[in-house]
Amino acid sequence: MKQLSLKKMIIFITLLFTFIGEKSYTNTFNFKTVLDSAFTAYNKKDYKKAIQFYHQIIDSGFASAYLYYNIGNAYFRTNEIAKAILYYEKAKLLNPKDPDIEHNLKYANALISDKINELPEPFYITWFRQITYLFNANTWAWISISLFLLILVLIYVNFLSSSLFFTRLIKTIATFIFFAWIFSLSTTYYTYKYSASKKYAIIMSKVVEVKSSPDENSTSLFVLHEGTKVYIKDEFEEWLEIKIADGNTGWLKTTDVERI
Amino acid sequence: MKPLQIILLLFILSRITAQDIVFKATAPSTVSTGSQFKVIYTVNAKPSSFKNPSFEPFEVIMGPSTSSSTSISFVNGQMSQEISYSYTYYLSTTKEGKFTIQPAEVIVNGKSYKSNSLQIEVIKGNANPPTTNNQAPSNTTNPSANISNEDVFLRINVNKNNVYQGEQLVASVYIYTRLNIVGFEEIKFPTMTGFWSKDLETPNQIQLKQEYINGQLYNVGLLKRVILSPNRSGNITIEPVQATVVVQQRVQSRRRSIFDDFFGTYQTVSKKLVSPPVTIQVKALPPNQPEPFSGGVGSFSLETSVNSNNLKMNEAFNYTIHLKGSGNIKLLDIPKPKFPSDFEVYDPKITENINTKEGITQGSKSVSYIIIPRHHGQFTIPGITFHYFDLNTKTYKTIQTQPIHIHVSKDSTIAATAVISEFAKKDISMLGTDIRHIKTNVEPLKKIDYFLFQSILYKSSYPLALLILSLLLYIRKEQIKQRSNIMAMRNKKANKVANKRLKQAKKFLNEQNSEKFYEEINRALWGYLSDKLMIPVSELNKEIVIEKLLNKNLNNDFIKELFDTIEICEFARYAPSSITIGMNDIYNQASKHINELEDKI
Repeated sequence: MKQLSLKKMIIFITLLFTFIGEKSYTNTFNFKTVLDSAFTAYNKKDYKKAIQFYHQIIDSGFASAYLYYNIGNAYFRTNEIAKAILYYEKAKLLNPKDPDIEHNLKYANALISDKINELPEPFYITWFRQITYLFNANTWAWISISLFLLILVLIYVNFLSSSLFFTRLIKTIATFIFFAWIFSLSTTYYTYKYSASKKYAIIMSKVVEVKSSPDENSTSLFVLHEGTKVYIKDEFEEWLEIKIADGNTGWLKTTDVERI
Repeated sequence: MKPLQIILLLFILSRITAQDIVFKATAPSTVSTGSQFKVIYTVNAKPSSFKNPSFEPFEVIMGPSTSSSTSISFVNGQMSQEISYSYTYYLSTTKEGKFTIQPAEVIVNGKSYKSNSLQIEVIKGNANPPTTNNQAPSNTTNPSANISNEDVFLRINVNKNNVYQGEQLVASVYIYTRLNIVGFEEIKFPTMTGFWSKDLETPNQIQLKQEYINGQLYNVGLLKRVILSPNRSGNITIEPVQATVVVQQRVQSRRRSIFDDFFGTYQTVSKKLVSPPVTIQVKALPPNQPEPFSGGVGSFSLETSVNSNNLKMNEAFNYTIHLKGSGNIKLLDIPKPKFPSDFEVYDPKITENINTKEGITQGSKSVSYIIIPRHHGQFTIPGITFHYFDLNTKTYKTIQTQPIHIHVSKDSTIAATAVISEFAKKDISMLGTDIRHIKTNVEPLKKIDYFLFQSILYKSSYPLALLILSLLLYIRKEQIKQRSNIMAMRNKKANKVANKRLKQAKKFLNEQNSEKFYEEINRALWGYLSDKLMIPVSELNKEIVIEKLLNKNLNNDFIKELFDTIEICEFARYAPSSITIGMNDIYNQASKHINELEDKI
């Protein structure tokens, strides 16, 4: 009787996770054919058409790292470097460690006019960022849940066991996993913030004068060109307060940028 | 002649008494056009007014300047006083012929006197009046220029007015003078905007040549020569040259003194000169320019050569592009050939040998590359295509050089190929400068902007998991509790169960059924131990029982006896013949053990 109740519960949990878990597309829209035609269009150097096809998929609300990567390539080939960078950055959010995405983004960035010296940052922040790049936001979320569940399982096993040695071993392992869980929580939060908050944007206008305040008549502080990545600090009506890699800040119009 | 006249005049004047008013005009009888001369009116009394005549067709350049002198002399006790007033005019004309200047009028003591009229013959001017005097000139610089623009001027001469963009022309700056130039105070040459320019050598000492312009003899000196090459089309103006010249000029003294007439006075005059601007019409090169256009305008020939066609690996050789011709050689680009990618090519050495003859630069320019092949095999350096604009035919021309084949043989002497492979690797990495190709497989597609972190699943999973854990723990606890309850009941009933089994054993004893008897005794003992010590039947064994009994402070002897009995029972079940002790004794011992355990636990 008791064994049965345990089994039931496991089945119940599994079902629960299956239902509210990540829904894969069940759309009637045939992605496969659209993707194929986009691919052939690209190979025939009809990049404009390939971009159209890829946008059909994105407009229906679905994407993947390599889809963004491909559309970035198509934009690159039509000489729209800023758009290409935008989509490479989007791809990088979903797949931060992919060498091809990294390479193309680097290459496109070498072609833009603004060369900004990045502010040096403490080594531990660099390390932390490098670790967060290992997985995307959702993968980190899964990792943190799994680690938490593992801790609970260990607690339960520990409760069942009567052997002293075994108990100690489990306790040590559980402590390690606990710290790993805490860490994964922070990376989950960071990657989520990074990708969901849309705090980064790419300059889309050819030339933008960055103003000292959200006002057309205020002093121009510096000039940015298309393709430069900026961090959005604040918003006011149709103005954005941005910060560039060298630490300079200023205001520009919302229409001058596109968020990653 | 002149000095004699003046001496005579002075002699006469000195003889005249103060009452005799003498009013005289003097002027040179012949002058040349363009030159200046003085007209002096002298009166030997103080006039109250002076009225000059019209000097037509002469031009008054300066004047009238008045001066007066008084001299008192005592001769034989008789004082004589001489007064002289003079009015001086500087005149000049460009007209030739004989002219008469009407008398001037003065009023002295209320009476009017007229001077003599003057006859002046103007002849065609001569630039430099021969210096009749070898005396040193007085160095009084007179900035007020009384020099006409025709006496001295600057001019920029160009050899071509209408050129193609990039075509070369020569601009020369000349000074033309009819005067004696002592020196230059300042020369300002314009910046040649719109042109590439190069100064040509000019002699340090300005050499004057004689040249007739409009029938006039001028001394002409070359100041500067420059080669120009317009870098845009349209009308380009060469800005004027500005210079200040110092001219030495002979002047006649106002004072009539013997010495002055003897020595003559020279004054230096500075004059600012500005040349007229020159406009060059620059034609644009015709359209349909071939790509890549070198920018060359003129006529050229191009050759390529190598110093060796057959060489070993890692052996350097020279590849030279030799350009010869006339035109803007200095300005044009020599195209870089496409070397095979595993050639190590160093920066080229460029040598130029350019000279200018009659306004055309010509010469040669060679670009020499040092190349080291890092691999063996057959290589081809493709020919160079060189486009330029030919001025003779007014068309674009193309020079195509022959490709050069190079055979590189293996170098057997060098065994270590590490260095070589390193270069090869470098070349591969250098070639890879493009984006990577698109991916064929972009699936699985996921919902855009779906974040697990903010989903209900993620948020609920933690409390849910904790809930499940506590539920499981609770169930487990309940199970243990239940089990311990069962144990307690069995503990209570242990004696009863054992007695029941012993009774059964007694029955078998009476029936002399030894097998069943031992089995029943065995079960009674084990069952009792299991119930009493709360050990589940599955975990029941000798070691655990002994451990538990020792924990309950039972002595070793008793435990030993107990297990002896159990052992006998187990033995007897399978080998009854080996048992020496009677069944009765076993029964008694077993019941005794159970009673004792009942007491002690």
